Amino acid sequence: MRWGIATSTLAAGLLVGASCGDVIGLDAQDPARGPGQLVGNGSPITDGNFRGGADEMPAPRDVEPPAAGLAIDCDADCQAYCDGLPLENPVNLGMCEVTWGVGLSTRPIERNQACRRLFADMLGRYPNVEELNTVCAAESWGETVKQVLADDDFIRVQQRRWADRLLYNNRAVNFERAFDMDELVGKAFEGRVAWDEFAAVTAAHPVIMRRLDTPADRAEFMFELFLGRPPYEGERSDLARLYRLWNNGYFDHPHVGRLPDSYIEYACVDEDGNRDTNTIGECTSVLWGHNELTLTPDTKRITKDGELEGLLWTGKLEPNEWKALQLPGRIIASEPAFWEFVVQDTLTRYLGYDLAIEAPAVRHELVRYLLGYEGDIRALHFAIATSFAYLQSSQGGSASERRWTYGPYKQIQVEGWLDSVKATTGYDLSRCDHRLPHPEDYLEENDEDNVEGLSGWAIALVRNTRWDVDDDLEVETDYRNLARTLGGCPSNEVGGRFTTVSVLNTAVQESFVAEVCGIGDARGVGIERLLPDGMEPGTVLDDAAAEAIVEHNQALFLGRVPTDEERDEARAAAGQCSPAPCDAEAFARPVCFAVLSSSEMLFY
Amino acid sequence: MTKRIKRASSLTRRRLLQGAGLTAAAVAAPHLWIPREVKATDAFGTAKHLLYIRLSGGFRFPVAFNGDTGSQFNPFGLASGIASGTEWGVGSMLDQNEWRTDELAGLGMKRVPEFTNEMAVIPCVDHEPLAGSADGNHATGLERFLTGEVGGQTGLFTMLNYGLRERTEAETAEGIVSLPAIIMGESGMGRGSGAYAAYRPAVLRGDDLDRFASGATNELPEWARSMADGYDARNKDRQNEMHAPTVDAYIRSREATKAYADIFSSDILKVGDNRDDIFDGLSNPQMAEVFGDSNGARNVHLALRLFHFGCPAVYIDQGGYDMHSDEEMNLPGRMEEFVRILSGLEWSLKRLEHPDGGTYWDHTIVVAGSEFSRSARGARFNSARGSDHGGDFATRWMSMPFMGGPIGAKGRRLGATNPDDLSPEGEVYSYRATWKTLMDFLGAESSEFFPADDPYDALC
Repeated sequence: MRWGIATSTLAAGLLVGASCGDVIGLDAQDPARGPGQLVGNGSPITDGNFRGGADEMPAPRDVEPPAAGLAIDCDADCQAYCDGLPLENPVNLGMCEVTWGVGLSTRPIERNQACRRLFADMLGRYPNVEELNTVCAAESWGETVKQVLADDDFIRVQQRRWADRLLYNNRAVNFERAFDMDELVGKAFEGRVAWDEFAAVTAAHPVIMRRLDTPADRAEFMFELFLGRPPYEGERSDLARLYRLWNNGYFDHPHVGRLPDSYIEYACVDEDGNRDTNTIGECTSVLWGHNELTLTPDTKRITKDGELEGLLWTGKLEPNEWKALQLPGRIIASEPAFWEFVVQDTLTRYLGYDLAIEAPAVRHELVRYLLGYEGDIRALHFAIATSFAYLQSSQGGSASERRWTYGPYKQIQVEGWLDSVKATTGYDLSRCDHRLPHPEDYLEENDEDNVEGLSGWAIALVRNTRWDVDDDLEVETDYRNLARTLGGCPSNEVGGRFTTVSVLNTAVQESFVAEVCGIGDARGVGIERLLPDGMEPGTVLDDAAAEAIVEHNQALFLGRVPTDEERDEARAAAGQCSPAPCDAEAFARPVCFAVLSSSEMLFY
Repeated sequence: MTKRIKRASSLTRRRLLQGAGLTAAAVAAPHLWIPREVKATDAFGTAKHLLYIRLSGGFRFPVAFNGDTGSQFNPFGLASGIASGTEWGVGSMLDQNEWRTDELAGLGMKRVPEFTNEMAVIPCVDHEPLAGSADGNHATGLERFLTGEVGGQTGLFTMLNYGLRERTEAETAEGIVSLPAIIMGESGMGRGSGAYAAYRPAVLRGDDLDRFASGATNELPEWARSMADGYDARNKDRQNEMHAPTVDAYIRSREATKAYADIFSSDILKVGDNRDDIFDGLSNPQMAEVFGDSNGARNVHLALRLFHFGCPAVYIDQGGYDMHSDEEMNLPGRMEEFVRILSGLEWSLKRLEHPDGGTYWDHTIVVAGSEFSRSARGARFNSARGSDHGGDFATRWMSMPFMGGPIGAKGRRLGATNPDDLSPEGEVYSYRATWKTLMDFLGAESSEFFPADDPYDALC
């Protein structure tokens, strides 16, 4: 049973599940529970056909570009030039006055290189050879981006990103809340929840509320999350009054024991729900209009005894109560800075810098564009990924502070690197699930918080996640351990993910690649992966075979053909391979290491 | 209901569409920079190593440290047979000794109460001394423990590596490869971005040590090594000059991995080996026998071996003390590992010979803390015979122990609490100041962090 389908029966179902151990409303295969179930249950808010995906890269106006260090001034001629360009993409429209209009040029990019970047950014891994020949070779770049936006991995990447932001941790917050929030993120990036509605629901979501301690902490977190800045003291204390009702407590889950969860206190009202004139100020924000936030007590639903007596478990909230609690998010989303921040944040994510600082018109155009598509966040991603700020080569050119005149170059996230290695080599490695960082908690007996010991429900829960569980009910941790060492798959006790180049990280990466490729004592992946079709492992190595092996590995891992220099290097290496004559396998495994461990796999 | 929400949102968007871009205004906050005196203690640079143990989940400190309080705070009572010269109350949970076989006792491993006069205890270490109440929230309490504050962007161990950067650079210039501070627990201790990103400590997991040690490139034929280098060099040359440093950092890190591989492949770090080779005066089997074979014990064992390579500090998570229920029954058993670790540390640190002279005890500090303490809200236990965490004094005070040769205040209690309500009756030390004090002991410059908190001399 899903909340969005039968909301009126929801609370009743939960009550049964929570108090009697009945499984109604407690589905191990779909444990999501929370306000995310109430929204986004219809069709996408737009058809997903966004404009601006087929602009031609403009030539720069024939004037001397402004010297380095000088401010850029787009005069009347510049404006006229930009107005005359047939541009539809909002980023292109906005950046013209600091680029082509003043005589600066942008750098075209080769299609496969662009698609490699797009896949890494949007799908969290590099494309394979087949995808380079299909998705990446679509009729237009806009069509390629559209196909990638519709890929399930695009949703998964966004969900993982929000898991990092909201620090999902099943020891800190009831896992059902993380699953619910994860679904909400998915709905937003499927275009089924507008961005301001997403903010409203998120700003009163138990997955965040339970992680924070005070109303002021919650107000500050929301400012940072959706406006990108800490609140001024007056803003913090004012918005905090709309978080006065939230409390932290524990929910006794009938199958997995005691879980941290959020509770509601009926503050600022009397027992009949009438505003209490003595305390109503504690629940009233006045900085963005006069807003009071109270709920009417319901003695049937409140906790009857114990330390949480008189409080309402948020699992029993009705839809209209959720809506009331979402007031802070609606207030934040009414700020122009709310839309500007999501634009800047997304630009920074794709470009590695905030283009809107140097080109404020880009921000303006993107906000208009996003609002024109009813807040469908997919539109923003489409616009940036089809813009020439993004669609430029990172190679060549001089060292200019004007970052938008050459392409971005970033480090791939840990999971992207690991998943690409897995996908291209077929190496056997398990998985990680950001919704449940500690799955082992539900597969261990005699946990003091687990009132029923090891339950079938808990086992089903973990088995239905992305974690791999073996026959002995042990979670496969090879992927997780490796990823966490490198900075990914965070447990989120405290902000966990990091992306860095360090000596110890590099040592681990090299070691893993050596294991995958079969260097030294490692068995490595099947040699057939590393050899061109039809080449036997025992084939005697000559120049042609060496070139073919290098060409195969580069296509497999880097998605490009060797340069002349690389072909020369392949032949030279074949000459040094010993004991001569080498066979194809003895050559292919070190080549695999050389290519797979290269900086081209780490940066894109 | 959903439709109503959508309609309201659309109206908001239309209004914004009309005004978008017209309302942006930058508000510049005034910024005054006032130089302040850098404070260092008399203990600056007197320690070489720190073992920093988190008693994870929220530890009920008075059951072990600062135990001479009311039974509502320490329902397990006090230990007996306490070493003379111990000022602080030794809780009976420090005397859980089922692990202490005749054989181990014969080796010289002591009950912890026999050497409590070698530990200083600060009864009141407070995450947030100016706050009106304790932070009893797991998430934010842990953030405070790992970074010093809620939302802290720099982990304490990142601060330490950063504070030692000049020493590290000097050693590197002399061709000395020393390990940095290392995390073997919650990785939040190693947060860091911007200027601090390069000083993030390595996060070690026991089963990943082999990866650090493999020295993968040693197994490569020379032509393949050249080929790998060639890919990186060409990639660097191809990129825009502004991107080249990104690739260059990777190239340099690949060159440096060789030195670390030599360290991590060293036999001294193979703590599970049965070989009787003696390192710094003790073999790994000897130490394994003393510490035991639990995960926490193996981590401590490995930490002491990492110190051999110049590692200034290791952070370890131990335990799992979030006992909302059945604490009365289960805590004594849960304490066994920690007690054995303390005893094992006292035993081994005094026997391990330090490469710079003396024993490791002379150069090492052992500290334990947690995200918060625990409360049963005035009762000995809650209704489930466990304890919780809220906003009271019982939750608030970490009563932290400090052990090791560099600690001057051995056996002393630095501060006091009222036995009836645990209100402070002496000095309350900020957690941030405490961390800066530990950085000070290690010779790390700390003035850049937590400017409102100064290191203190009380432990000297």
